[in-house]
Amino acid sequence: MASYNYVDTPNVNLTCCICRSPFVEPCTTRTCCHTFCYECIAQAIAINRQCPIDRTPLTLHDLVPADPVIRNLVDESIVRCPQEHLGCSYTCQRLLLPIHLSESCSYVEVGCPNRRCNEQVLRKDVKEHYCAEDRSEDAQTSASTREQTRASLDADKKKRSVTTSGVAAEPASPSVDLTAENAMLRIRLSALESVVHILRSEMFAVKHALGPWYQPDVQPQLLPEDQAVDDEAASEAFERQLAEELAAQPSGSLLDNPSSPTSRDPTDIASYFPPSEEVIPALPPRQTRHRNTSSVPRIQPSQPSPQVHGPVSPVGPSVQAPYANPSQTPLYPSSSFIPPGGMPYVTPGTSLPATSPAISIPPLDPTTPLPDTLASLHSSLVTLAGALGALAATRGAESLRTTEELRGLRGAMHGLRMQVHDILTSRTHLAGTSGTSGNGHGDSSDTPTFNLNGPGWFGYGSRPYGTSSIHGPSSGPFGIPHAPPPTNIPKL
Amino acid sequence: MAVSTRRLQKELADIKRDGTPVGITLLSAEDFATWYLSVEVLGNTVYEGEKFALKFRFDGQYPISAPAVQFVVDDTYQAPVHPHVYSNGHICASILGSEWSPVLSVVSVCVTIQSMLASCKVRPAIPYPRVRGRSEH
Repeated sequence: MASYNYVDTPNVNLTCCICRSPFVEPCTTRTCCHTFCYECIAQAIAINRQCPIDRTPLTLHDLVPADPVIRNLVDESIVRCPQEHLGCSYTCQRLLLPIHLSESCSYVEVGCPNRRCNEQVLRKDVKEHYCAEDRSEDAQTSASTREQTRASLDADKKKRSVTTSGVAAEPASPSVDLTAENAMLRIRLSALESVVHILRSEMFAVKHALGPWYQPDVQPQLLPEDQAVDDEAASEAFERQLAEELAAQPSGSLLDNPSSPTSRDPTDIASYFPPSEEVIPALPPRQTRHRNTSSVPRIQPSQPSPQVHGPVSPVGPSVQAPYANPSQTPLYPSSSFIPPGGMPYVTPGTSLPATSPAISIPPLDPTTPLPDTLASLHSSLVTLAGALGALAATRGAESLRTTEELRGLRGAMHGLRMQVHDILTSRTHLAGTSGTSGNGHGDSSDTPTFNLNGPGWFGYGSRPYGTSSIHGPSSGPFGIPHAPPPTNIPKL
Repeated sequence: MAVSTRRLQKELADIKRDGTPVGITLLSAEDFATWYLSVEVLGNTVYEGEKFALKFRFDGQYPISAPAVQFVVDDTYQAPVHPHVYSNGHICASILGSEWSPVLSVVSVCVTIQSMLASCKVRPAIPYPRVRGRSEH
């Protein structure tokens, strides 16, 4: 871990709480948003997998590079040259210190520029350094080269002396400028690389989730019109463009569009996929802005049409209406959007078809875009629901009718039984009274009498054969017996 | 320079610059291996008027590894009679063991021990003797 000598007291928000110095390679925890030096937190996690500040569980995977603002703030803090004890009074931004040490600090040991000399000399002393090799060379050749090197060294030293005397962080020579810029770019590049890596992994996850519906090529003839479609799209560019458009257009009509699907009937989900308005990321936002204003009045007419038709499959007519409008933009070329069974099923005016329609479910077609497939699935579901409802209704109606008929039949049956019973008993009575005429009259309570005065068979007295059960709780003409009629028909 | 040295340098500089909390004083910090601090519990507590000394021992991995802290038991100082303190000065505290965090410092440990002593309402009759092999709680 490097140690720097900072000119100013570093801001306490920029100091790592583990090493108590300004951050070196700061990284932030994704779980609890605490920032540490990478090395510090790596060592701490090796011992105990908790955030040192609040003890939330933490692994190395939860660390991301800190915000570039933080990185820049610590990288640009002014530090002193570590060779201060030897005399170097240079101060610069922390990120530029390595360059200073490797190229411009006069108090750092370097190898003698003469290739054959292996001595290490302080850079400021290189000029006066006379290696053994120098002396043994030919005076002229060595003198010229030495003077050249000396001149260049002098020039360099002059430049460096100018910079070392200054406290400012900006180096004077253009080469140091470039190297400084290079260092900063390198740092930014590393941050960008990590961001790209994260983005790429997320994109792969999205691609994997879409499965066969992921299509890298975009169909150019489709126009982005409705901003309200906010579910998953086939590409990230789509989402980015949506974000741009939604952010760029503060007009109220457009804000109504995104919110109106949620305020509509929640079962009318198909309105999220109006067939003539599918979003495709190819076009720039300006075109779509114009189209949106024209699309707003078009959505309205399709709204009341569902209420006009029957309660069954309100989406069907809305699906049909845009088709009828000739000013609509061309649809997807895919035909699987309208389920084949749905169209004949939903005709205006017929709410309860007599026979169950032949609903065919189109197979999942990965070549069509995902919103289309979802729309077709939804409309199939809607038609199925409608068919179910209709079936339930018809069954209910029929069962009511059947119940009524059954009751009537039961009543008639009962009446017939009574008649038959009476006839049979009267026959036996008639056969009996020829012999015992006296008894029959007086004994009206015991034997049944054929009473012609009374109305029908209601004048009869008590009956010997299961009377209580026959009359039961019901009463009145053609009283429908609630209890089932007795089946004990008298034996003749 | 070891990691611990740099960190302890900073802590020492902070103490010298900002002082210590009330009741805590730095007795000795000659090297970066062993420090001595005194702790006194203020207010109306069971330990009113008593002054104790803490001995900190650091290894090269401080602050990643916890320091070894115990009460000094010698002619001038005694260990406090507390449920979590043994008669030889050993302290049972979670932050000195599994719950140590690199964010803690020498001063924060002293403050924790100070509050541990202050929160004791009933002074035990005799100090707990240290039995070899007894596990910390």
